[in-house]
Amino acid sequence: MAESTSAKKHLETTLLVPALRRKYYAESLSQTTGQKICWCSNGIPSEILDAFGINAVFVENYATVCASKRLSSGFCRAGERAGFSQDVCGYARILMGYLLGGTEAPEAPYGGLAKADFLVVNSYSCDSRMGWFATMQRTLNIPLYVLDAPYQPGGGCMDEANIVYTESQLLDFVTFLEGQTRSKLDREKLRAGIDLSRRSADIQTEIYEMRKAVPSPMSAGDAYTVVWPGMYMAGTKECDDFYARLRAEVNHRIVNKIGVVPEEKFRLLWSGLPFWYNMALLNYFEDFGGVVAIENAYFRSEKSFPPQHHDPIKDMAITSTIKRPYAGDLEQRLQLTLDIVKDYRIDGVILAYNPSCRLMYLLQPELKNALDCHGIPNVNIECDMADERTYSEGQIKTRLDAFIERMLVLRK
Amino acid sequence: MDIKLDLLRQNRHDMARLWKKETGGKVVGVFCCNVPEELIYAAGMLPVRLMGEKEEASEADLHFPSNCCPYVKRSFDQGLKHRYDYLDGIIVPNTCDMVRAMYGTWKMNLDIPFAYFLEVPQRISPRGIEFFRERILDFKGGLEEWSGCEITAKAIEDAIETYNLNRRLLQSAGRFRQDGLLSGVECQNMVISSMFMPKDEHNRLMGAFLEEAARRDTPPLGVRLLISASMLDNSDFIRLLEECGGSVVADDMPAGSRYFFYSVNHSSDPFFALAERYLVQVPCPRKMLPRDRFEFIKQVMEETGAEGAVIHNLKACDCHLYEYPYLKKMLQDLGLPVLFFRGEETEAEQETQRDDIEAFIEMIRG
Repeated sequence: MAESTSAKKHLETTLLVPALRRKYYAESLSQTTGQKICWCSNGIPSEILDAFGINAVFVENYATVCASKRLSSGFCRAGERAGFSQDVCGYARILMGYLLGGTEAPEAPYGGLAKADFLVVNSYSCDSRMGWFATMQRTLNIPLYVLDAPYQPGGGCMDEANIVYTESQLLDFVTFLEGQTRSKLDREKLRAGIDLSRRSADIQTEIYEMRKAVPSPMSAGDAYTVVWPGMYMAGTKECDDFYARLRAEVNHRIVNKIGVVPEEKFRLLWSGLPFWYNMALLNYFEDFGGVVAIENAYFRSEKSFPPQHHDPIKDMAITSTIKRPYAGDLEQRLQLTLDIVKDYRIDGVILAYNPSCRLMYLLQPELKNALDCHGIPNVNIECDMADERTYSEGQIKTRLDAFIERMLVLRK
Repeated sequence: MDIKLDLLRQNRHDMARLWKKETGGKVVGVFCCNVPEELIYAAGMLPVRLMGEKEEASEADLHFPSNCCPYVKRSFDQGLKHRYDYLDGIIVPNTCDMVRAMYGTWKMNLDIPFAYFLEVPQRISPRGIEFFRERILDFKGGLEEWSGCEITAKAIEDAIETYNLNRRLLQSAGRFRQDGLLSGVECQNMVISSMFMPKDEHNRLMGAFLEEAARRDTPPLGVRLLISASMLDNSDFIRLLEECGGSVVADDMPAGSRYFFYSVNHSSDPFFALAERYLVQVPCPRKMLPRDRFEFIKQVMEETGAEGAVIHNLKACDCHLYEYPYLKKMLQDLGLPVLFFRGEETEAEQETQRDDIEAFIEMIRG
C-alpha cells in the first residue's frame, strides 16, 4: 500500500474519526443475523434505513478511503479498463474498478465492502450518482431504488406540490424497504433518529459559527475529517456525542486563543472538494503562517428546520425539500461564498477545480469572476478529488507559492 | 433539398427575427427534449431549440471550465455573442447537471425577460407523471402570466395535433431513411430544422419534401448503421459517416428519434397526456434506467437491418458515458460491431475520426 499523505490534525477529537470509520466498515462486514446491506449514495436519509435495521454502506466514502490510502490510481485504471471514461466521477471509477477490476485492482482497504442486497441512490444531487448506481445495478443484478425529489433552483421553497411529491417518494421508499426487509417501518425509532440527527446537525452549525474566531481554532484538514460522523452515522448517539465533544474542544481553543498556527498571518477559504489522496496540502500554508480557516463544500450556517408534524416522514419531506446543498440558484451560491469570505475574515481563496465532480466544478469559474470582481485574491488548481494521477505536486506548490506571495503583497 | 435544409439551420436567427417582426410574437429558447413545446406554441409564441456553433467558445470559456458539455457551453457562447438577442424567454428543464446550470447562468449573464425552470422528475412512476402534470400546469400558468394571455384548451388541442403531425412526418422520414429514399443527413436536418421553425410551417415543408423523396429512385445503400449519441445539434457527424461509406438507417439521439418517436395520446386531460409523453416516452438516459432505454434502442433498430453501430458521446456527458460499457455489450450481443467516439465535435476532431470510420466500414464490408 502506498504512503499516506493525510492532513496534520490539530484537534484531539478529530483523531477519533479513523477508529469510528474502521468500526463502521468492520460492523457492516460482520453482519451475521440476516441484517440487510444497502449500498447507498450520500444524501440518502440514513435514519430511515436505521429504523429498518438496515446496514447502510455509503460507497462514496469508500472511494475517498481508497483515495486517501493512495489506491485511486489502481482502482481508476481498473474502472477505465472496464469501459468507464476518465470524464466520469473519480469516486465512481474507483468503485467500478473495485467491482470489475478482478486481480488487476489493488487490495481493497478494510477487507472490502460488505456484499450489497440492494442499492439506493438519490436523484437530486448529480447525474453521476444516477449513472453510477444504474451501472452497479446492472453489474450486481440487485434491486435499485431511486429516491427522487425536486431540484428547486431558488435554493429550496415551501411549495406544497414539491413537498407532497417528495413525501410520496419517501413513502414509496418505505414500501420498497418493507419489501426488502419483510418488516414494517418503526416510526418511533425513525422519529428518535431524526431528533438525534437534528441535534447533531445543529451542533455542527454551531461549530461552523465558532470557526469565525481569530485565530482559527480548527483548520480544513480537521474539518474534512470531522464531517464523517455527521455524514455516515447521522441519527446515532455516538454521532451526537462526537459533535458535543468537538464543540467543547473548539470552544476551549477559542477561549484560550489556541490557533492552528502560532501566529496567524492569513486566512484562506478552500472552495470545492479536497484532494483526498493528499490532504496534507491543506497544511501547506501553515509554514507561511496561514490557515485554511473554512471550506464551502459541506458548509452549513442554518439551524435545522423544527418539527412540524407527528409523522416523521412528513417532516422529512419538508426538510429535504426546503433546503438542499448545491441546489441553490447560481447567484445565491456565489453570494454564499462571498458571505463566507466576509464573515470568516478570509484573505484569499483556493479554488479547487475537480473536473470529474461536475457539480462543484461548474461553479468555480463564475465564483472566480465574482471574487475578481470584489478584489478577493484567489488561485485555481485543477486536480481531481479522487484520481491522484491528475495531481502534480511541483506545479501546484509553485502556483500556491506565487499566490501566497501575491496575496501578502496585496495585504500590505 | 439537403442544401436547403442545411441553410435553414444556418439562417435560423434571421428566420426567428423575421417571424417576430411579422407576427409580433415572442420567441422562447428551450433546452432538451423534455419541454412540452406545445404549450409555447399554443400561447402564440415560437419555441426554438438553443444550439451552438463550431467556433471557439471564446466568451463562454470565461464562465465555464474546460471539462464540461461542449454543446451547452457553445449554446451559451452564442448567447454571450449576442446571436440570441431576439429571445424573449428561455425554458430550462431539470434534465442534466449542465443544462440545469444554464438556468442561473443565462439569467445572471444575459438580459432575458423571462426564465422558467421546468422541474422534470428523475424517476418514472405514476406519482412522477402526476407531479410532472402539475409542473406542466404551473408552466402554462407562468407563460400566461408573462404574456398576459390565456392559453385556451382549443389552442392546446390544436398545438398537440400540429406537433403530432410533425412527429408522424418525421417518423415517415425515418422510414424513408431506412429504405434509402432519404440519407441520414437529410433526415437529421429535418429533425433539426423542426426544432426552430414554426411547426405548421415545418409540416408544410416536410410534406412537400417527403412527396418529392417518395418519387426518388432508391440508390444503393452503404453499410447500414445505427447511431446512438448524446446531443448532436448539426448533421456534420452523420455526414462524415455517410462520406465514409455508411448509411445511417436508425438513431437513438436527442436531436433524432428521441424527439419524434412517440406522439402525445388523445386524452380528455391534455396535461396528463403531455406529462406521460414527455416523461415516460422520451428515452433519455438521465431519467430512464438502462434496461428500458435498451428496449427503446432495440425497437428503433427493428427491421432496419443495421450492420454496425456507432456511439458518439460528447465529453463530460455523464448520462451517456456511464451507459456506454453496457450499451456496447448489448449491441455486440445483438451481433453488431461497435465503434465508439467521445469528444467535442470539432472540425479538427472529425478529421481524425475519418480514418477510424473508414476502417470500421471496411471491416463490416469484409
